[in-house]
Amino acid sequence: MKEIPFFPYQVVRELALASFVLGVLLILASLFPAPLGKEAVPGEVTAIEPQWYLSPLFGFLAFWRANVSENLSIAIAMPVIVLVIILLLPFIDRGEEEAAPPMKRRAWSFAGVVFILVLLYLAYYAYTASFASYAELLL
Amino acid sequence: MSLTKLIDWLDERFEIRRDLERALRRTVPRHATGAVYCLGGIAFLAFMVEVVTGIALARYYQPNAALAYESVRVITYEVPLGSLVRSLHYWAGNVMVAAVLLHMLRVYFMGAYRKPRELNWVVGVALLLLTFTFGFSGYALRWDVASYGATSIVVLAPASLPFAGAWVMKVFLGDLAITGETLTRLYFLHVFLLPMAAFVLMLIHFLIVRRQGIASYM
Repeated sequence: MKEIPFFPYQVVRELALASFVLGVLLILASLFPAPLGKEAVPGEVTAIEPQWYLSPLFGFLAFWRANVSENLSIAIAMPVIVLVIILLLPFIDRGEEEAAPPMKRRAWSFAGVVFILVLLYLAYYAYTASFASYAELLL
Repeated sequence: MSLTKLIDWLDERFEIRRDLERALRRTVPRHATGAVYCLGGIAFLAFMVEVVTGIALARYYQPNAALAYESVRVITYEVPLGSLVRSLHYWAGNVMVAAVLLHMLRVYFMGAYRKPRELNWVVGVALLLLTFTFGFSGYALRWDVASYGATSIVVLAPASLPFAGAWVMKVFLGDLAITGETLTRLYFLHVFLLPMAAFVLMLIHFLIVRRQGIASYM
């Protein structure tokens, strides 16, 4: 059978998954409470901790300033260009089938893996960069 | 009143029975019940947790530079269950970002964004940006030393762009330094503009999936 009934089969499966995810959230929230540091003083930057999902961007800016140029204009424009490419992906990749396994789309899969590795490296760069190299970004 | 009677009562007024039966009798393609297909749903579930815990937090949070940090401290250490609700908000936010990113990777590696699903990919990318903006603006609201520093960079870096950079940031944030004004604007963004946009885009995202079905290469 290629189709399963939404009710009750899929509903029960989804409720089970939702209960599991809510349970995980409760356990995480109980064991690892949300952090709270010292109060900020407006105008004074004494610590910089980007969220994990923004750290590749921070890493890229810090990397650019340390290794390429003091001028950040291009570095700030580049993520925007990457974003536009991602946005236009369906109009660039005009494959015949409506979907295909990753191994049948080797070039695209390879590009995806490389992109993820670059982001991971930039995140790593962000975490190991000194506070001073971050603070320079504010200039 | 039994459930059947309630449905009869509603059916008499709104003729819901036919639509209800059709909704319950829908089928799901078997290929779309695999584990990797649950990620978008988890993102949505995490978003619902954010809405509920966010409403509770808004009851105590003060979107004002002088009071913000103190109100977060009160939520964390004095309000009953405050720390749990705040931590749930924190974790559901992180899980939401992770689920959105993994969902996007699943769609990317399967090439499921191809024709005829181009527009839903575009809506999805917009939802990714909304999710990031949610995270960034919420982080700023904490108003502690670490979040203040990170917020400063996110705001000041685009402002250094030539031509419109500084102007755009001034329009959005009122100032090029992070001040009390910025905090109030980010709060408005976080609890009003972003949720409204997210509700609308999610509805469109889901309706398109409903209409087009889930991509398959079998």
